[in-house]
Amino acid sequence: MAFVGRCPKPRCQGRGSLDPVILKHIGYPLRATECFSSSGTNRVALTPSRFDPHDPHPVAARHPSPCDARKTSLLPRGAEEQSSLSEGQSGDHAALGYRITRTRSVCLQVTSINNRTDHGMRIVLFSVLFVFFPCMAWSASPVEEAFFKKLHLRLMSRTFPSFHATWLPNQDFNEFEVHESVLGLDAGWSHFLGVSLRVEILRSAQPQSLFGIDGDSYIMRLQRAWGYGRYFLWIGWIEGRFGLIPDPWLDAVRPHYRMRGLRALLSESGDFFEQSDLGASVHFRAWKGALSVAFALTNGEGLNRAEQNTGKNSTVVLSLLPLRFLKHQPRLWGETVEVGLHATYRDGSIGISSASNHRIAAALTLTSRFVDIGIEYIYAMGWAQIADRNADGISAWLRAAFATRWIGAFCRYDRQNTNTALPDATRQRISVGLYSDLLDAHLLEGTQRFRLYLAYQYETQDKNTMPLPGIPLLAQAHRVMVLLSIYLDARFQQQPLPHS
Amino acid sequence: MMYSCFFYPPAFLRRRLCCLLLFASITSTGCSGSTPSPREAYIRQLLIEDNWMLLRRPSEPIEGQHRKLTEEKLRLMAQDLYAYFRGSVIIYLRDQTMLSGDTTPTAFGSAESGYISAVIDPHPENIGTYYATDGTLRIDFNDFDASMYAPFLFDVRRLILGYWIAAQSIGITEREKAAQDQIASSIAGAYFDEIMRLKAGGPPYKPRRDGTQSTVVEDLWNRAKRDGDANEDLLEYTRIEGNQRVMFHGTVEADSNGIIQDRTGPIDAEEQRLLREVLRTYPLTLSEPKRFSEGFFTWKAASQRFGAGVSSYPRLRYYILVEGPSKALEDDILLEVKEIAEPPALPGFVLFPKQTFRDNAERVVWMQKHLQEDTQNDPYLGFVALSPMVFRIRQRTKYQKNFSVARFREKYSEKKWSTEDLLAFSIEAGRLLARSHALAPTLQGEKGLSSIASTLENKRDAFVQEQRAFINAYGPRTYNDFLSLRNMLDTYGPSLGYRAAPWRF
Repeated sequence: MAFVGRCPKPRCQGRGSLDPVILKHIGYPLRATECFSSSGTNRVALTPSRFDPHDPHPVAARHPSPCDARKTSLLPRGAEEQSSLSEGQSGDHAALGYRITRTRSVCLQVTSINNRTDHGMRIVLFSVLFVFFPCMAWSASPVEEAFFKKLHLRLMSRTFPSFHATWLPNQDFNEFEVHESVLGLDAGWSHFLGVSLRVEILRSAQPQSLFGIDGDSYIMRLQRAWGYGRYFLWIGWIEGRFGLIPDPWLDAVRPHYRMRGLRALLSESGDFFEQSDLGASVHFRAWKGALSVAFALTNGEGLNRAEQNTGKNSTVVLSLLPLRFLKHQPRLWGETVEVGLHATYRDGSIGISSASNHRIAAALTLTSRFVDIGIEYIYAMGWAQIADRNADGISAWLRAAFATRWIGAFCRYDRQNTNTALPDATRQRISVGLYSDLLDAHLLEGTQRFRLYLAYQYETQDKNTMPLPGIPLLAQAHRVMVLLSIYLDARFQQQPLPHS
Repeated sequence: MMYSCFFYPPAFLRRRLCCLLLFASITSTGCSGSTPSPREAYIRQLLIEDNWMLLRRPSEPIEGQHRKLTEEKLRLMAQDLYAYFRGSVIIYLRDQTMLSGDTTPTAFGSAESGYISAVIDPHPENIGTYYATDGTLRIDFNDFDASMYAPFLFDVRRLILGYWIAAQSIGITEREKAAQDQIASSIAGAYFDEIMRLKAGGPPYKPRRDGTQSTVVEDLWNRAKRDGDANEDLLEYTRIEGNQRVMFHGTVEADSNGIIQDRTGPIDAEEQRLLREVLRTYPLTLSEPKRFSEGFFTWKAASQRFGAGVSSYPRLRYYILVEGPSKALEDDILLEVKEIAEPPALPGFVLFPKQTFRDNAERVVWMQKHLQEDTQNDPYLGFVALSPMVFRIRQRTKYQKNFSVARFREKYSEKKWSTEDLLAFSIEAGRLLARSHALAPTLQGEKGLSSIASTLENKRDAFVQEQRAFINAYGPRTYNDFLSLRNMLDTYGPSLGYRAAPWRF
């Protein structure tokens, strides 16, 4: 579908490959035409145009062209793991702008595709709009109209249904389950103010507990709820959050880890960090996101407890994406590569006795369309509510897509030491497997995902490891999993993106 | 141009940032205050976690009662070492699973013996008598509130710790300290021997009142027979007014140091409605419901009981008087309805399936029926779930009498009983525990005997030695924890500084 021509944007001198691209924009596919030239303005133009529904090959990505590599650079990064900054809202609009290299102009002509597969998504989107906007229109004054014109909304969901079969030395078990399901709504005004909400499902009874709701039903709870304000600067922006906010460390590393469906980061699954907490945070992101600094002040009790003590957790997170400093971002097999260096320190306390709960963590990540590599290390001074218990963990992962793009392999290794004062107190987990992206490749470039994992896990622990010291065999497990990782994202936005 | 590359916020933003940073620095200093020792902080946290639901429970059904009673429970634990031991099973279990510095990991764990039916809280005061339906007096473990599937060693060590604490509590003399050191050996050895005897095809240990048991057990049986025959429970908790029996509301045993010992009180209309519902559905869960005639469980009266137990001290407990086999006042039956809570959580302990029982009362009753000699111990044993609360029901009778450390202390000070009697009793307890573990089904369904026997086989000395090492390290630690609790109550107040979350809009 690639063709050569002149960029339709007035005054743009770009000549070269003009290629229709399918982009996800407001929840259903959009079509764009992009033009690359060696010089020109740094603006991105999003101008609607019509789409020919009779086009027999509407999806350019089905016919990969040499320009595919460049197309991905237009799309939000860290699409798999969502945070308000990296996954969308106005955060990824800014990121979108950043990713347009200043040495070439890119002109996009965007239009929606009138196909039949997006009806479900539209129903969701329009049902929200038809509730919200009629209320607005009912008594809209000119001022209010102006306000609502700058409003943008986003709906997201993340669901991981799975089937597990586990073999332990003296028992085996298999079950279907939904081990994570999240529904989110973001609403923002003119990219400066907004609110973000997430609800998640979980079993009403803890493991070993018989005290659930209607047996052990799934229930919903608030996972995150925060308001934010953002101030744009010449080199970036600064954002303040207030409410039930995501942990800044997880928020920094998650976008660079794309196998959450399989297992959360060791930082989270190893009980080192809580996914969200009540508090406030300030985030500063500059130089196209190459430098990010976050400072958070939170209760320290996590998601399911109110504050127990007067101390507050102070967390500082530094993220560097050094390749963004380069004029020409390097590519790997034709795809943009992102290298991330992340580090954090937390001065924390937990529980009514203010048990120390400090953390030091660092991570190195490399992400691209075809390959993800990462390693993280966490050191805990105070763990599991024991002030004098030190623990640490290291996790490494690799994901690689095969040439066909829609199939790939992965492996991950976790090693957690539950008591550094004792020898033989570690537990290990190895996960290997294959995955297949069931959605078309063009959608995967955005925040949509429909990925099927087939995984094998092997878990072992040493003799001094909790929960059953002295009986390491009890934790020696073989597990086979079939897991579906579904991400869906629907956005509505009236205003053009702000460009930095 | 260079200047513009650096971030220099406008004035209003600078001011706001400064305020924010100032606020952050002020509030974050709250982390570093006067910090207690890590162990003390850990105990405090666990005790609050264990009582959290009671401390924050709303004022149902009796206003303010739960928090007050929970504070009394903590005070009771701080007054008496044995009471502390009874109320701190969560600390014991966490120490076993988290492996604190001086806890000894076992060399006697196996995958096969990791999920046996466990009492979880076996200790001397949870051993008591029963008057079975076959007319025999028996002795058995009688508290299964925390019971669950777990490694058998959790129970063995808890039992050893219980006797060690009991010996400490009775004020054992220096001269007899050696006897205290023998407790671990006697219990571990008795447990081992009983398992091996059963493995060899021997009959299960079923102690009977034939004069061959220890002084302590014989004393229990004698008193149970005397008080049970006298229907003393009806005398204490009921009165006859005119031609009907009514509940007694008042003090049965005087309070001690502000702790309720034995007191009953009236119930309100809501509680009566709840208890009538309990009585309506409970007979369906009896082992042999057909043994009771129609009208047997006819409601007569009810009262609330205060001051029983340690762990369950603040929990709801009621007595219901029912008609019994005839309309005569002498054969009325007193049932105890006790609220059952969750067992202590063992983080990271994986069970398949995760929930074997529908509710906690079913768990407790099922475990009791399988860990005791048989279901004849208490024919009135049953349960009721009135979501979200669950209750276990049993007969309240003086035929059921528990061992009492206080009584042993009294006898010991009178020089009527000695540490030898305690050792003899501990051996009986070790055998009882072995029988319970061996004959009850494991999570996988088969009896626990073969898996435990294969784990222990031919290693008696090593097994005994390991348990001695455990109690030598963990016994003094428990004593120090008890002293810590006293300090903490002085420092943080009656609820250990727990603050209920304020009402929010």
